[in-house]
Amino acid sequence: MKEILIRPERCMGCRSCEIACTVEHSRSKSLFGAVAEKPLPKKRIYVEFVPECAISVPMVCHHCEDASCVSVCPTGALSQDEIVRVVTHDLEACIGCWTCASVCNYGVIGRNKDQRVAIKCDWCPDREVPACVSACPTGALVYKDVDEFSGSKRAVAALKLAQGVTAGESR
Amino acid sequence: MEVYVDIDRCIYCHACEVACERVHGEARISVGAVEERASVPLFCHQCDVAPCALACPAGALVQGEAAVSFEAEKCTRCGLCAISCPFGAVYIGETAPLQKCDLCSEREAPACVLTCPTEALIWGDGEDGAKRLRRRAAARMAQSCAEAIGRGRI
Amino acid sequence: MAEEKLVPTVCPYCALGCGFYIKLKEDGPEIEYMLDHPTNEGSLCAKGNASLEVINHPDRLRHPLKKTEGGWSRITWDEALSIVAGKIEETIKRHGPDALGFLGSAKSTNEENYLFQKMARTLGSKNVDCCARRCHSPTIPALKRAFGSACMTNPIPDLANSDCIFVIGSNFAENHPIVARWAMRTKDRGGRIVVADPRLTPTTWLADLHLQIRLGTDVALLNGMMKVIIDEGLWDRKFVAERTTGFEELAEKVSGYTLEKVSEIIDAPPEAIVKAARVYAKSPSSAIVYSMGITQHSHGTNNVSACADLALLCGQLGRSGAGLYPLRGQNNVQGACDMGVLADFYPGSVSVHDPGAIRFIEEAWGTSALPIGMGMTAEAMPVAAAAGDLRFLYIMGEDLVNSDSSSSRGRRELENLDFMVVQDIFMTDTAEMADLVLPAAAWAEKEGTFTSSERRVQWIPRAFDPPGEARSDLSTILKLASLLGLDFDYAGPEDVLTEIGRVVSSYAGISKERAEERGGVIWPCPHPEHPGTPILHQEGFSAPEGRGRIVPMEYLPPAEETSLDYPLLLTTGRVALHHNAGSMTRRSFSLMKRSPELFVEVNPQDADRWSVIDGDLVEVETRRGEAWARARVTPRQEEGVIFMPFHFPETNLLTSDVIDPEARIPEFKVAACRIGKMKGV
Repeated sequence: MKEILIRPERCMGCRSCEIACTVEHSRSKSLFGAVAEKPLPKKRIYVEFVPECAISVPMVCHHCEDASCVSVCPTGALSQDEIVRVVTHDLEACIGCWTCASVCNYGVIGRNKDQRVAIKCDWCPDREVPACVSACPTGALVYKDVDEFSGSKRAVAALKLAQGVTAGESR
Repeated sequence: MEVYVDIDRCIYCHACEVACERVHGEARISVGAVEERASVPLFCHQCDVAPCALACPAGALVQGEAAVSFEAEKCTRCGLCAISCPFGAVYIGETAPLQKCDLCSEREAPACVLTCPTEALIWGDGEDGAKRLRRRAAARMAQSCAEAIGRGRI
Repeated sequence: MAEEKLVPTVCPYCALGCGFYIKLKEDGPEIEYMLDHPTNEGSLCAKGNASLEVINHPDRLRHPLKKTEGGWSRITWDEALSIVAGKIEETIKRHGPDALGFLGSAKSTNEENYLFQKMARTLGSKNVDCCARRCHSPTIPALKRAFGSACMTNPIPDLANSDCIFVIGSNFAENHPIVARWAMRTKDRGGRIVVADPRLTPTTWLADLHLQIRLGTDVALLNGMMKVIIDEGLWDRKFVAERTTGFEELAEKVSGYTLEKVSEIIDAPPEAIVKAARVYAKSPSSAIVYSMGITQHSHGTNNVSACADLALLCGQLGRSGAGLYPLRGQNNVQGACDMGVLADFYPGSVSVHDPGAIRFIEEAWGTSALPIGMGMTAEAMPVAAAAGDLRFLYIMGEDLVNSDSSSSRGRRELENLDFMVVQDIFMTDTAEMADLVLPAAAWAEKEGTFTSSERRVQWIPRAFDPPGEARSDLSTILKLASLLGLDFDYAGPEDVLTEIGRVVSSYAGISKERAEERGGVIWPCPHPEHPGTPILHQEGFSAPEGRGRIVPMEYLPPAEETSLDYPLLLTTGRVALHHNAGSMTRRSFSLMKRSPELFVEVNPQDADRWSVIDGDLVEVETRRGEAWARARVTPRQEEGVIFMPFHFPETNLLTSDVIDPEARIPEFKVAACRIGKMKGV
């Protein structure tokens, strides 16, 4: 099962993902249309720059396996699909108490002031690959199965090692 | 503006309770410990679609733009609000008809927020709390990532 | 609208020196938060919020009282002071000045403490001490030996600049909640918190790594960590070579502390020890925070030395984010120590064994023949009273009976005194035993300076009048001194502060005006233009040659071990809602409501074994006495250990009276005990 995974070392803080997310969650689904919309559409991914390490980290809902936002929701507005794990949010049931936002360790539950409800990543149900991942120019965001993700990291590490060995031999 | 909570920071020191009691005569916030592993301050969330305001038959609890206000003269002490509140943050008081957080309306910021030693209570827009949690998580990820790629901290 | 006035003040409880305003209004005083205070940024813990509840409390002492056959009878101040002066003169005449004992107060101002010890020593008595004996007395010799000065090296807000905070023997989240504010800022920046504590506490909730060690095994853990650091080459070679001595001895000593051995002693996994060592040594700046869990042991001085060794070994000193933080307990305990209210030090940390330095004080005081040599400590006074060596005891603002270990013994011994006078704000259990009780002013009812744990000297103005005839300690001491014919000519606390500046070099640049500024001045402040010194040891140590001394320590087990008769270990500590012996917090309505009675925390397995149910009244018994407490069955401590807070008088009936040979602090933290249910209930 695929999910959005991050590689902060590749993030250069361009915020393309934020724009793509906003556009995808607008009514018009186009950049120019989105800017003109009222109320303005809102992003669900946030790029945080950490000055101490000079690294940017794209922060997005991890659809945790045992999601604390789901367990604290007093009205059951947040629910989790048992199979694909996606955490979905029922706008009708939300009372805007923000308990979910308090307990989310990643701080990725936002607030839609106009509709008075919480907003969060929905893995772009209308798309094959979430908009943020498609927009990322450096591959800092990937949409993959976790095993596959680690596999690809292993391959990169193996390549580096092999290059080192060959370089050593040729010397 | 409302009170927001960063649960990881709560250290069960009861400062908010005592401060609230000092200002209002009765504490409208309470801190509960969970299995000696964590503690949670429980207080009115000023819900955007507040069940207490929906339930109140007398119109004493009024849904406002940023808060749920209480008009004491309309209250009949029927207790429906206390039943409907998912957080147990509204209750029939001893010294007043109803005890419900009013965000210390006569002060610049609520006493519980100002007194909180660890800044677990945040006075701000709903986004402020999430932003802080996000920053913290990002800092941790960035640090472990920096260590992994051998850059270390600057 | 009625007139309102904001009076700045400093919290009277723990030693962090948090500031707040007292808002004086027609319908009573109120607390207003001081958002621009550097230490607390306005925040206050529960005790701070409740602090005004003691000001006008009905239990406050309002008149001098004399014990007579029929109970307490009210007398005038003139009568009271002439009785005290008469008794002092009589005792000196009959038994010599060393039969006089003086206990100062970590709750009184610097000026009051200074005059108190000056009076005692001018009278010729060496026996001056204060409650620092029971909290951080091991810190003083150990850090003086290691660094040359015994206090917190960096200010509390600087913790936010650390990359690793190593907490050992401190539950600051409950006892110094404002420290948690800065520790949390460290976490926000990605820093790590490592906590070594035998119990699960709110402080361990904050920890990235918690080592649940066995009671009293701190030196083993620290030595184990230092071995890992040396073996893995993580120590700071440059710092050790240029600024310390004693590395070779340390390396040799800790070589015996293998992971397997340490892991077995402390009962924690070896990986955790390695992790803790690595994160402390590798972080660019690491701080050590410690408190009573380190000091209140029969080898407390060794514990503190081992902490200092770790900091020296890794070069984690003398810069922002690093340092050693002994968190102190009372609002002016640092000040009382600076003022020389200690049996082993004159003002300004002048050793009582150093005649040359004492000559300087003699000149400043215009006297000769000040006593030389160690006086009786707070622990030794009751013993000396029993032996008949101590005849007269003057206690200023301290509940000796409840805060002494094995307190029933102390109580019996004090009864042997010829005369005891207690000056306090409440009728404490100690005051009940006195022959004469003098009513004192509480903190906001007088003016003067307080020195916080971070060496911050702050002046507070007077906000209220003392109740009834109560007087500030300063005016009482001045009156008494004039009756005794001492030449104490001071117009007020400001005059005294000026004299302190002449005697104590680190206070030389501190004036009332400077101490009145927001956040006061952090000493050492050697001249009036000096900005104060928030971070110590930046250039060199004040020890000889400017080098820090690494003194290797050997692990010693706690003095008491479990036996068949006493199969459990009792440890003591504090809770968030009470303060020390509790004479103030136990009179505070909003705090008592939340923490009304003495409790004992028992692990569920132990509770099963001794059939204790949560909420039972149980009897806890040690070799020294027994006490009743409400059982709380909780996994907060490991099997075999029970915990009681010491804010209620019963706890110290139980504690051990074995003392540290160097610092003379009793081992409050470990006592063998047994529990049982109340019979017939």
